Amino acid sequence: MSTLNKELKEELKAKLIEQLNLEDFEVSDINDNDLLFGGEGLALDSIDALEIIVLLEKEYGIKLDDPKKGKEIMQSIQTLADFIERKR
Amino acid sequence: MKLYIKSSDCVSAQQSFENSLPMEFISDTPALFYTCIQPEYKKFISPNLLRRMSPIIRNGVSCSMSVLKKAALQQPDAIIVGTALGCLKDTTSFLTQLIQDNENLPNPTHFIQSTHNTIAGQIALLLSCSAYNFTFSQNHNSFETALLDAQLLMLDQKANHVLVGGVDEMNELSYGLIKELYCYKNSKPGEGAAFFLLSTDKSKVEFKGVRIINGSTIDFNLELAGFGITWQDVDVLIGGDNDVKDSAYNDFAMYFYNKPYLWYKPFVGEYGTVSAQAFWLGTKIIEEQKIPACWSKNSLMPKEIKNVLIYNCIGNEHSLMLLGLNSDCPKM
Amino acid sequence: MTENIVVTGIGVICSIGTNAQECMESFRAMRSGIGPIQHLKTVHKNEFKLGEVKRSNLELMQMLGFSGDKRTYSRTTLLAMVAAKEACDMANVGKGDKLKIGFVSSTTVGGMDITEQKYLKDNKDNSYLLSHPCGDSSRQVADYLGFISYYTTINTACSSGTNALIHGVRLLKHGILDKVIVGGVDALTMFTLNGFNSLMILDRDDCKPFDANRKGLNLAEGAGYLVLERASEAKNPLCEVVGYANANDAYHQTASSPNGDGAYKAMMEALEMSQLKTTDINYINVHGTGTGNNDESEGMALNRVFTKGCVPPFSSTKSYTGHTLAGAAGIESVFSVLSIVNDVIYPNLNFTTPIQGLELIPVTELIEGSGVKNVLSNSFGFGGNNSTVIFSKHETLY
Repeated sequence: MSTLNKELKEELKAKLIEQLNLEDFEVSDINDNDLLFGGEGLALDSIDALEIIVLLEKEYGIKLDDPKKGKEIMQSIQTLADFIERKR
Repeated sequence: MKLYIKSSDCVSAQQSFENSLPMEFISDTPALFYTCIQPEYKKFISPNLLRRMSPIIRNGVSCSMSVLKKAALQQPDAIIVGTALGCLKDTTSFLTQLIQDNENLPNPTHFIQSTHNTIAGQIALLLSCSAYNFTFSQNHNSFETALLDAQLLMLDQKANHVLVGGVDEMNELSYGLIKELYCYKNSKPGEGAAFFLLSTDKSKVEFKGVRIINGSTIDFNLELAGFGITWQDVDVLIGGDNDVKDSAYNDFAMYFYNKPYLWYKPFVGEYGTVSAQAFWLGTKIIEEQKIPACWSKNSLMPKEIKNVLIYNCIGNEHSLMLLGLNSDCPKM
Repeated sequence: MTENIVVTGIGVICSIGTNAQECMESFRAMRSGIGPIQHLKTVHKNEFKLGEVKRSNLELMQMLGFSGDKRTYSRTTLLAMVAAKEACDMANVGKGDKLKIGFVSSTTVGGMDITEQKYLKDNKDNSYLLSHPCGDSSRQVADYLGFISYYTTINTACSSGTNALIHGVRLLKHGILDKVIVGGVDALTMFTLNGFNSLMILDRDDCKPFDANRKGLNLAEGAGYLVLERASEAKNPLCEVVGYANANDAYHQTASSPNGDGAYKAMMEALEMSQLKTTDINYINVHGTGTGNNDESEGMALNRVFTKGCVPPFSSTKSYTGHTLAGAAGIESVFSVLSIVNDVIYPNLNFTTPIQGLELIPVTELIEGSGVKNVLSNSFGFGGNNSTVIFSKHETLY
């Protein structure tokens, strides 16, 4: 699980950078436990949250109907990867 | 009440941004359409906002920020933007996704950013400016109606400093959508942004009015009377000719026979709010009191530059804008 | 500058009626126009309910007397023509008028309903693109009416129609025009349906504005226009435009601020201009889309302006019509005028539970004869755009 999870996390970082146009970021700039939302870390916002919901469905076939439930799942790359692994 | 252009800037296919009037042009003529020389966006916009902005928003916002910076003003009393086709890149991106993926999970960002008033909204957001915020979209009179609204708002004494501008964008994806529009039949499309701080504070350039005429013909006598001037008072003309054969401007050129005549579309391209570029050109030649030869169509030069008349015409949509020298301006 | 501006004509087409009379009948019967998709071409046909105008494009063209006309009109343009014509007929604005008459419209989609069906389909004839720009729909309506010397289009998303009114009033006050037709229109499109779906703010059932369990909005279509004139020249005023304002929330591209700052500012400035006290307002036609964010934010602003517990009777007519985007403010301005003319307050459908903390309960039964004199209407849009207009019973009508 751990190597799979590691690969998934790197993949997620690359996908977020591409999908959210995080032009100033590289995969190595994002730590697994960095906060995705809020004033610190990547400082993403609600529009990014919608994009991540689309990404989850398109890339991993996971449907999230209620954006409010996304908050816990999208805390960090780690929580996002854990969620995807649980659902796959 | 008199209104003045306190500051201005222009993003275009030429070296215009944060610059004086170009003395020569970048000579490469593009194959399909003109694109802007990009400002250094990061000077004006934080990376976190910049990342989802399409060129029209980047250019419009950067240009606005430069105009406010030049005027040393933190917040305008109103923000009024004209755009003929709005955020075309995001619109075509979203539309293309919808059609190609059969309405399956299009990206929300493109939709969010596709609304015409995203530019004015983002300017307000960046400035935390809660003031009056309008966006006009009327084909080739989009900038002109924005300008008229700004003028009336100021005459109503609701605002002393109004940020007003015209902005449109062009790219590969959007080109397919607009190339058939009649206005591009005999011209090369372009893009650009030109913004102005219209102010009750005195400056060298007075904004004397805008007239919008819808119809097959235009009575120049009548329109000049509307401005309170006659043929003799006009020192410089700026026409919207796309090339030497552009017959839409024959009547205009004939009426003002033998006056210094400038043109600009052959160097920046044709687009919905391109007349804002002419408004910038007019502002600059009055400020600088000189005309670089490259802008002249008929090689005539004025003795002095007091009144500049700008004429634009596409189909039945005509507009005239008048700028004047304010001779009792305090030293800048 | 002190010249008063009055409304002399109204016209409307939306999911609850093809004219003002039909809409009033739907209100009296508490009959919503939101239902399963009949006309819009989309793969989501069975997923969502929409507020469609119950006429095909062909039927709309017949209503306009267009039989045999070979030109292609977008649905947006056709809807605008129907409503603008009704308004002009009522106000007796027409050909032969030697006056300067303007048309200030608003739309967010323009000719998108045609573009989205033909784009990327390798057409030999690309003339459909001519109708794509927002401004082109206004140009076509102006041509159709035949007596318009000035026209323009505003696109500030869902507040557009009120902003069209504001621009129109200014043109009248400065003598640039003698009469002006103002309002807005939007047709339903696959583009906006998928757009709002991607924002996850569509209710798959009937929307429940200001209800604690609201899930989102129902997308809809329609047009609403008003004829405005200077009071001194108007023959049969329906009511007066006494206040208006536009302000920006400057908070977020799509979301409203938690305290409704922009909405608060717009309402306060409009009230100040009207010289009315908050207690003079008899009915508020709220923006009330039914999304979690809008109703919460607008509710906060209402409580701030009118003070909690003292908010006048209010309702969202979007529970009948759905959200018609740029059509909304024009349509709801028409409803506001009808509220004054008929002395009626419309109920808010589908409301059961108040939003916790706001203590705001909309009108849920039709109220007639309560003496409606002053109506405030809110319209808010993307880009933090907030607009308010206030209509008052005209003094000659007391």
